[in-house]
Amino acid sequence: MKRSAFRFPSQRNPCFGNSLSRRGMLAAGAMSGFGLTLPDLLMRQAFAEQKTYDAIKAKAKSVIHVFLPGGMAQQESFDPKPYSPLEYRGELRPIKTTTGEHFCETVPQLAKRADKFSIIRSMTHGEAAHPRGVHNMFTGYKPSPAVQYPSFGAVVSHEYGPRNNLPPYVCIPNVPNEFAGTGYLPSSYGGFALGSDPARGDFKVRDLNLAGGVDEQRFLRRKSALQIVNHSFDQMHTADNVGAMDTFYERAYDLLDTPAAKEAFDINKEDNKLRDKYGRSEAGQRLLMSRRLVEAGVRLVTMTYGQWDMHQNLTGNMKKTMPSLDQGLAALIDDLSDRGMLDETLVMVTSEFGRTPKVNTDAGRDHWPKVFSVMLAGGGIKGGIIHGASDSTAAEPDSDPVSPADLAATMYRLLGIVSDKELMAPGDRPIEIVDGGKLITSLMA
Amino acid sequence: MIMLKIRYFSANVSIFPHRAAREAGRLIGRQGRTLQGAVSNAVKSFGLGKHVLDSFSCVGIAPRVRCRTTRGAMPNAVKRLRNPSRRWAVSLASTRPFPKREAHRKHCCNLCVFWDLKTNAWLLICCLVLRTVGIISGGKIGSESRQDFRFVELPKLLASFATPLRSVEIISGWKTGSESRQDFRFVELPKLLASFATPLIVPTVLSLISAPVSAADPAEAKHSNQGRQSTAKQLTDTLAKQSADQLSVYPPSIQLGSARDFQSFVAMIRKDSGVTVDVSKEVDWSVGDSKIVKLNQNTVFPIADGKTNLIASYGNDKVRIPIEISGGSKRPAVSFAKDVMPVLTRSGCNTGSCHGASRGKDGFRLSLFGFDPAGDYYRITREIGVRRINLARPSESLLIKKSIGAVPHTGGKLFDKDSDYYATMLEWLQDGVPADKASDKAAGKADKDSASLEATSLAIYPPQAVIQSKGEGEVSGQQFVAIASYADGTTRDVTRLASFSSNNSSSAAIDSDGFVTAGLRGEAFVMARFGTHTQGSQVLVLPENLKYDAPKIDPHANYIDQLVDRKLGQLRMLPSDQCSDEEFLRRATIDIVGLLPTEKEFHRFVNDPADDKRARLIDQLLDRKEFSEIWAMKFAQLLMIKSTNQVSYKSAYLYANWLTDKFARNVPIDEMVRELLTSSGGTFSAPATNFYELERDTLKTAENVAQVFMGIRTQCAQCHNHPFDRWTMDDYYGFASFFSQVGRKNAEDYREKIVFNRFKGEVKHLLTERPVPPTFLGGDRPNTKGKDRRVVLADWLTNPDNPYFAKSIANRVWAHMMGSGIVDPVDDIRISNPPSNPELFDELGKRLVDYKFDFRSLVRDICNSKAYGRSTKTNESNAHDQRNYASATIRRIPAESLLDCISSVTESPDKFKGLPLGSRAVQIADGTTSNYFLTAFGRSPRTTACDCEASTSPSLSQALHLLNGNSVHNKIVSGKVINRWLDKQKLSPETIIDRIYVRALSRLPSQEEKTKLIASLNDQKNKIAALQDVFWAVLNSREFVFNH
Repeated sequence: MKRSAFRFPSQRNPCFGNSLSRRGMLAAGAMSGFGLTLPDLLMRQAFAEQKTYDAIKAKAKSVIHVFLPGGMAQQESFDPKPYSPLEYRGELRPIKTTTGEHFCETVPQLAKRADKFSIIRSMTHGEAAHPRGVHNMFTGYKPSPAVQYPSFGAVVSHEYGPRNNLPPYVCIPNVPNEFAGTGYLPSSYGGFALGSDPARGDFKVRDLNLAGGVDEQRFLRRKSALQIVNHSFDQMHTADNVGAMDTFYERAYDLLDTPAAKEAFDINKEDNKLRDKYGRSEAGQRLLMSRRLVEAGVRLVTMTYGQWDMHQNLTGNMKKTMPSLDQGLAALIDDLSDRGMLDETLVMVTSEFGRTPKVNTDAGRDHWPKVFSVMLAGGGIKGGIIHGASDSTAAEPDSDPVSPADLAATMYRLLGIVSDKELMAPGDRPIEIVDGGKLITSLMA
Repeated sequence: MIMLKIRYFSANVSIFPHRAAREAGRLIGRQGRTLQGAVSNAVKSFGLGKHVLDSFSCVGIAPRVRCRTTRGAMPNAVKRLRNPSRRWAVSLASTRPFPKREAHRKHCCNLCVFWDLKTNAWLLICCLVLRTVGIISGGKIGSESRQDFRFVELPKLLASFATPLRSVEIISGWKTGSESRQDFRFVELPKLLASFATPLIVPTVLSLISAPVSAADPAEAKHSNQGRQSTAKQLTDTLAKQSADQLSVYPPSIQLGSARDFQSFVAMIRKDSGVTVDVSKEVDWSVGDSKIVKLNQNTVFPIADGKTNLIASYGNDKVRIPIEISGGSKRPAVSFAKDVMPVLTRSGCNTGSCHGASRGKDGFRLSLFGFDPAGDYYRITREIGVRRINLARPSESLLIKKSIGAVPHTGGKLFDKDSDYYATMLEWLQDGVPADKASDKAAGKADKDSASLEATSLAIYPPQAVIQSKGEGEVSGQQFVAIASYADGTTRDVTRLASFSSNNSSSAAIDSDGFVTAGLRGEAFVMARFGTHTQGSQVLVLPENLKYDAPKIDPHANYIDQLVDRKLGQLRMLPSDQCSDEEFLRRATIDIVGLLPTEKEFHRFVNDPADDKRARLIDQLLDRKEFSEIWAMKFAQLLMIKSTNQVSYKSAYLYANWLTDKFARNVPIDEMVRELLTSSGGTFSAPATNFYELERDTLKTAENVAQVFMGIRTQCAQCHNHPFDRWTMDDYYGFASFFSQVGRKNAEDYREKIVFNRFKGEVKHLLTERPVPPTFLGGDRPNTKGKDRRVVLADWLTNPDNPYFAKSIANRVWAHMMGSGIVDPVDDIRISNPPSNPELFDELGKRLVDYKFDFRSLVRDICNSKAYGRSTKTNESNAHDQRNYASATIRRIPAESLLDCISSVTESPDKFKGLPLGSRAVQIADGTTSNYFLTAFGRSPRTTACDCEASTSPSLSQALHLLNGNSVHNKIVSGKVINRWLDKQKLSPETIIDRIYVRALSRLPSQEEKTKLIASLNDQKNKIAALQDVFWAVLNSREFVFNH
């Protein structure tokens, strides 16, 4: 919000720094000192008068949601506890980041770029079972026996729809779990799964090219014949699944008609050097693919990587799994910065929960939803901030606890979606996109 | 002698509530590399030296402290306490040397405190002393760093010392454990005590401790089950008795057990049209003998013992309800568990978002929905001294001042000062906060008092209501009454104490007093929860001036139609018309055999003038082997048949064949399941044994059996009581015990394993770490001694009386044929997910049993019903309904069948691993065998036993694949159907289009379609390509991929 206060002068003069007089700077600073800027105030007034849903401006145009299934250990990543006893801190050592904080030695590349992203160390929810934890982190809601909630991707595609004829919500490599679906929203808002791993040599997103022997002309004829056949059936049936299939056919036509969109799926179009920089690993190539898609117009990419449910041999598993993610994420942040996309792309690295403070008898750590870490970068997130803290053994949030609803609300706000907007579930049942949820303002640029 | 064992190695060791002491506990964990350091830290920080010494000496006793450490050194503080001439001893002992750097091993040092007591009197003095110094109250021991938390309440333990101790109050403040888990269990101490406790204490203590563990008393479960069944029965009865303006009064009988007791009642008339009206206020109420009962509005109060009647007169109708009063002159004291706790639950104090959160709220914690009355009692009366209660001036107690909003309270004001809730709480406080004797009930010597503390079942009346919503300003609704029954045979009106909820508040919102207000047209299930019981009632809401001509229900019709139509009648919904013959042929063929009708079948069926052609078609289809293949595949998915690292391809193949063979030979499903569950032998020679190889984990096996064969999800109860159902951890581990004796060994062939019954092995409860005897879900503990436990289980499961098996299987069959289960999802049957048509749900199960588990007969019934034969076209009244089968549901054809359909219409066979060319995808034995088409269209990966593994939701990948992929275009080209028709058979384009339509869509094209398609052909030279395009378009059409 602070930035928007001095955006007017900067529009007149592209040179951002000079346009600001000393006085202007003071004025903006004085207001933001109270945590409120003028537009902010006006906006609040406006909100008080009527519940309007389209008043916020998007900072992030797209989201890369990196999900680490299984529950990544907070201690062995972004929240080491070097001063706790060995059985709590584990075997891995901390390293200093550029901002003077400590990360675990598993993420040296990210530590060098710690000023570019922020960490929430006080993420917390109470669900220690995988499916329930995943549900929290994909929907911002606690699982309910009565309602199926839509995932972030489904909501974003519901709110914004496709851009540049690309599917708004893409899953790499596959739809990661049952909660990444559309919940109570129609299934047409579901994610498009690549169906193949970009790290593989034979990677190809299938069926993006017309079948052999079919040219544009013939495809057009086919389409018109299909229309004739579909006509009566479509007229008669309005069921959700039939409608969704219709929508997907429309999307498919759009996609096929847009060479640039199709090209976004071809990772081989990427420079080899850059591919190496991301790392020729599952994590690296999936991250690179995410960037390609986001650059081309996909609104939300959900990418999964690794198996983080390390009940045994945590040190060994961490050393095996983390380096390629560290390299990939570091490369992604560099790459997004280089392309000037970091400010408009929110990178969110989450996991369903953290792991127990104490190392177990199998030298692993077990499920721990009470406190864990989440990484956020770009898209209106400040760099170099550690938000919240866990206690001395990473057992409980010590300050500023962040719930999945808070995180979801913040993410939606950055995307310009009002998170208390009500979507309509079957039975004319209005349900808010996020139930409550405080914005993590200290992280928002 | 009481001993407290302190987990030395863990983080949060604290004996005393002071922050200093807690810190000291952390220090022990963190810095205490040596035992001496730890001990001296502890002793210093806990203030043992100063406080204990001082306090003891002030009453003229000096404690004797003995310190045993492996290192020999004695902390100064301990030395100071040492005086051999006294009878008190504080002993600090370690059982094991402390490990220096072995972080990953579990080590523990016992810091033992012995209170060597001669008599209770000594303890009394000691308590008073300690109380004075304020040390003991609130002491807490435990560990929260590991998953296996222990939570032990000392109050219970100490409460058993009988009265002198109880009055002491302080010692009962001791508590060991951790609050970091949601489900607290009181388990650890028996173990601790078993070895140390003196004969004096052992029996009582043990009895106390096992109390909460056996919370899920099987008898209790049974009761509630019966309760449910009886409600269902009443529902059926009520429906059966539909006659003109029938007056009914609920509850059907009234019992008043004490002077405190009362009972509210409701009256309802059911009109001709089925609409019910709450006439409780209009009815003229009277009682037979006004000397023994008093009537006040819609409630009766007892005066003296005896029997009489409640008489309701409405018009010419008169209904008599028997009233029985016993103990009407006695006025029992307010009980904490029976009276106070329900007030807390009802007021929402112990919900997850308030004090019921695992860490409480604003410093005050209650157990979630009151699962731990003893703990709540302790926290209210003992925690933080006596801050929450004021026995001198009860009305000044914080507990009630907060609840009436007299002091600031985050949760706000919960009830009025003049409410009955306030009166109950106040009376309890005035009585001096008496504790319940609940704690002895676990020992098995439950006396009458304690047995009646927990309700054994719950009932909600009326069992069903059909309300007409009125216009603006007018409220129409129905009052509900909730009645709890107790083990001693008494009942209690809990309408004011149960919490009510509705699963569809926009249609039927229920307020906290059990009054349902009619809203939008629709159907709802209102539930009452009291204690651990939930009971529901169906509410239908109809618009007032709805014109509805009920179609006559044919008494000779298929039982399915009778039940479906009756429900539709209640909903004022008109069923859609019957579908056309073409549609029926296609639908039935896809559903029953997973294929499309051939052209020959199509013409034969359409041109058959006979009336019974649909029934004959169904019989023909049921006789085909493809029918059994479909079901074999469905069960192969649920049984997760696939080759893995452990299970060889050969095993998986043999297993799938075994299953297919069972279905092909029409082996009754109970027999098949029994054979499967009790299988022993080699995985090659007895392929059913692969069931125990594909899932080798005992707990998972039990979960899968419950989910696949009973439709019950028990997973939650592995770590805590099921939050939305009745299953407790005891149920879970008791059920898992049936599979604890499965043994496995290698066979000659390295790929083969032998599964056998070991006749030994137990499943340990997560918390008690004790074996749990095999217990049927919601049932008894059978005697399994010397038997294969699996046989015992299989006999119970497949018994016709089993309450879950037949219904669950029948529901799966129904869901496959109709598109959605009566309970949906089919494998999540629970009270809070009620069937959309309970009578039908029960009836289908019953029929399956009657058919001796031959589900071909059940499929025949379903397919022959009018409900199955309806059109997908909806009408105004049923357009928004998906659960009541007023119209047919459009479903995308499942992945395997869809591929088979495409392959058969294009005559282009598939080749799958291990199967000959031309085999169908449905026949794939090994779950790991797949192709892109199957994966993209949502074939079950067979990784879990969930029915949701197979998905039919559309996606962009599916659209792209049908448009561009090899499954359509390539198959059309390689199948050469068009080439043959055009070149060899010289058919005209019109005929070819007809034949494409018949093949793929089971209908002839309409004139309009035909004209347009022919027109598009005319300007093209390559007729083959042009007709292929038509074929392509047909296979890409919605009509093709959906079963309608």
